Amino acid sequence: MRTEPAEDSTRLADWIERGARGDEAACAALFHEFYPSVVRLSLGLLNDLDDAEEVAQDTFVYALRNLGRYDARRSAFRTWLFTIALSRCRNKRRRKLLLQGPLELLAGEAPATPREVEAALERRGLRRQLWQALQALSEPMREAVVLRYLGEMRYKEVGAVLGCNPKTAESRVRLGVETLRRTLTEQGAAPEWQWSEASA
Amino acid sequence: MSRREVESQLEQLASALKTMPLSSEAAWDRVWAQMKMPRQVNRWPLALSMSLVAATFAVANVVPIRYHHAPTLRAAYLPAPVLVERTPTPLGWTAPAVSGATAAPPLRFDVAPVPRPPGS
Repeated sequence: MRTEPAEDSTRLADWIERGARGDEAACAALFHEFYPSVVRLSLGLLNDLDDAEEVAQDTFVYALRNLGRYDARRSAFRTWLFTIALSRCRNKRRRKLLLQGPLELLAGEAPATPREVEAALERRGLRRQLWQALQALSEPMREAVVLRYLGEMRYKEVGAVLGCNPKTAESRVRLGVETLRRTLTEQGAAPEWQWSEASA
Repeated sequence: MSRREVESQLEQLASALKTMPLSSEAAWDRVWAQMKMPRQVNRWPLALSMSLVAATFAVANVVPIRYHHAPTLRAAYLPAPVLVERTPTPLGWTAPAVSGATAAPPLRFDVAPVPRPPGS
């Protein structure tokens, strides 16, 4: 998992301090450092790249405006940022469910995998079912699995973002992975070449 | 499929998503433009407090509250006074209760017993 070397944390503290004073270069540095990871996290939770980018930008507007409130003694900057993003993803998802959920339920259709995700999966020879199974997990399990694997966080950090203790976070991740394993086994673990041929 | 394989696939998925192209520069321009815009003032706390004040005044004006705070209103809600006529009889003065405006029972005051002289 990701570690922060000492020089990185010093550089980060400097960006945060300057960013809190309104320094554009420091804010831009923070943005470019963390924007891709926030988008990936949001994409894993929302299953829509446009929504993920919108949520990530909204997260940064809030975070950069409130940099003065960030307390490095309480949590890592990435944990703080992911907590804001998670809260916004939940709101976005609930609003979308309210608007589109009933229609999708009536139609009985599973949400489609974004084409950007499909392309990324294809490049690595991964199966589309993995993403679909991830999206089909219950909200607490999906959040934990996405934070752990797509966010590349330790259990302690996952717990801090979800507001639970690390043991609970770990058990949610384990349960999520076990559910994914069962789903993929039931669907039949087709070899990669079969999937590639089918999708071609 | 084993659990370890699923974990490995999730890790590969994370690496695959890192290769996804993102237009970070355009996104930064949008974020900075939004940062430069004046903050929208959140007016709902003011609206809520005004509503609470209005609701308090409205509730305070109803009878049960005024009853306890306005003496004249409390007096109006008390039972009407009873007219008591005292008529002379051969045995002395009696005070038969004659109902006044209402049928409320007359007020009766118990006469305190006279103490007997000592030794009686």
